[in-house]
Amino acid sequence: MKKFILFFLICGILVFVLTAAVLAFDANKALQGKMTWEEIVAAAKEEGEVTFYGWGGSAITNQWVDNYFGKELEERYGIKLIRVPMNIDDIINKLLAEKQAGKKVGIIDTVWINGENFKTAYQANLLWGSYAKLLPNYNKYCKPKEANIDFGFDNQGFESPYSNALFVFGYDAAKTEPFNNFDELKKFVKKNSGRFTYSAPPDFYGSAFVRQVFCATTGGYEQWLGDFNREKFEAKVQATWDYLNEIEPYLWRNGKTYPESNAKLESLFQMGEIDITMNYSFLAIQSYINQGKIPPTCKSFILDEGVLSNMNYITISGNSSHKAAALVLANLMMDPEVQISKLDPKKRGDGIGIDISLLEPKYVDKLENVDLGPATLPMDFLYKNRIFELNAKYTEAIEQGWIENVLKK
Amino acid sequence: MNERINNIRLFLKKYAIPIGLLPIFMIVGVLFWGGLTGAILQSLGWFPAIGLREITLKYYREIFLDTDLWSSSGYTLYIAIIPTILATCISILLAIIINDLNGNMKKISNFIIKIPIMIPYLVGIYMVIVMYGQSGWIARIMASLGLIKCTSQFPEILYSNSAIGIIMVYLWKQVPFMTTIIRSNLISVGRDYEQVAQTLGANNSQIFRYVTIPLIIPGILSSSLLVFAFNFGSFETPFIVGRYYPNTLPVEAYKLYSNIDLCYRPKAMAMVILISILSTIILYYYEKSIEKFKYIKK
Repeated sequence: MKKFILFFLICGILVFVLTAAVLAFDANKALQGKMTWEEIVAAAKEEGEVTFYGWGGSAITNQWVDNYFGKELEERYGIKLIRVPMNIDDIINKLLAEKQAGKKVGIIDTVWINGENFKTAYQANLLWGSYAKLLPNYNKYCKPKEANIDFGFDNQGFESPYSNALFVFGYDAAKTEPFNNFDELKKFVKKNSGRFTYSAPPDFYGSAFVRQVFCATTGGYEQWLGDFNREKFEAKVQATWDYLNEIEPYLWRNGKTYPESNAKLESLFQMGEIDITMNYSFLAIQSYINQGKIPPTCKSFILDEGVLSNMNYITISGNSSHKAAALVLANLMMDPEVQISKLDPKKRGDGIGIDISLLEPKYVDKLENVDLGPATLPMDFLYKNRIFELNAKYTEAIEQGWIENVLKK
Repeated sequence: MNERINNIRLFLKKYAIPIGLLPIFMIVGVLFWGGLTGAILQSLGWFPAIGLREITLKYYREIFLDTDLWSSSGYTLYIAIIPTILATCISILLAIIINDLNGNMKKISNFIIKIPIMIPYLVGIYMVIVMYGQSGWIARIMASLGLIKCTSQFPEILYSNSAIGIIMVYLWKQVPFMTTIIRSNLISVGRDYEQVAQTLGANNSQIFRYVTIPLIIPGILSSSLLVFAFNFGSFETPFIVGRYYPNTLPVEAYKLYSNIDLCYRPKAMAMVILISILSTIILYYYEKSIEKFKYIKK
């Protein structure tokens, strides 16, 4: 009798161990491409949930992620999305703290990230690995040559596309006559003293504005795409500081202080303290009009010097405990249906992260039928005027230089 | 068996105080001293997570060589000291006035003064922005009445060197707090001493100076100390309505800390340690200088 029970027990344990081995998701095996996509999706369903960390300062963005994207993830794959709003510096600090504490099973699965933040996380070994090539939608709708260049830095597939950002300016056509280039901007601020400002770098918007000034005053962005060249940078950057210092006395509050965040810049514009706003999303102006935050007479505009364009991404953390679900999330984000829904300013208003030229005709039709609104510039016009982000090293140098040469002067 | 229980009882009796203090020591020890030790180590350049393993005073040197440190310290002290002094003076007067009120008036004013204590600072900040910003209500009303030509002529209350916006937020929140404490002090002291002074021929100002104030000094001291310590280390108010640069020491430390380049971390920690040392020194001298007042009635 005893023997029988023992035999039974051993059999039970064996069955349990074997099924566990079959069901368990081996992250390394997946990363080496030894698992099919179906196996990954099955493992993801088993994991059942995934956390998504990222900036949560925009209500419409959050609503889209919760109500549309989260629902799709749940309905299509049975994965529950847990969105955690957090600023990127706090996320990286959290990842770093978990690493310092040697925590193998972390709470952060996926992160909304790009640029210097990605580079910091990548160099501190906080990320999982080169996973982008595992995703069917990445292979179908992205050109690695373009999709993998994040602020001039080759991300090696450690992150996968989320959105494309195009930097536009906004004004109220009922009140203001905008400018067409940086020379006219100078005249504009001198004529309308106190009615223009930009948020202080390293804030995203302020930093992007200063980078545009940098490209305009040093003769074009092309020269800054390659590796970081300190001598060349230092030889040419003075013109940028001269320009910014020349307009400073005519800025909001005579340039004695700057808005510390893009949220403040936007609220200054909404309250009518300044005439010009700027945004990384080319649909933002329309989106704000729809929300009733700014009058319907507001319009977007760009400068002759071009539209600063960059990508933002989703990445998977190194100690994520739901890596299969994270892969499914990253893949779903590149789904054309999802991207087109994200584009609609009524639902969210955010640029397409995948390559439009690779879309099937039925999606192209759908894309063209999205009503971008009267305040938005046509997408092909923006794409034609695109200029690309500089190497992240230049971004850092410009942000640091701005503090030394403009803020402290 | 009985002996053993007795032994345990004796042991507990003997070490009752240390055992009772253990929970709080664990919390303070782990959370506070642990954090502080970590901060000191990082400020000295020990940060293995990003490969820094060399102990150095370099980061402190960098901070001290930065001329804006002094401007930032000055700004911090300014918005710590001025609101504390103002709030103390106003609160003493308010407490005495409310104490002298009768019946319903007393109840109503008591209720009104307690409202801001329950409302968070952020709400106060928002109210100041909406009311006193250059695009706020008052500026717009003044502009539409023709008192000023355009809203940008309205005085710079927010984001300015004078920090009037910050001071307003602090006063709005801290005057009620101090008034409540001083008033409860007044109530517990009662009227007897004042009446004795009056019968002995003291006039009102003499009663105020030599009787009332010494009696409520403990309440004034403890509440003003709390307010000062809060103002010195407070973050959100100067961050939102202060000037951008150089802002107060805690805000500047936060900016360094949140710099995406992790190499700034030790410098941020050096700044944090500096703030801790500064506030400890100030609190020490504050305690010392008020000691003289403390026992005036004895």
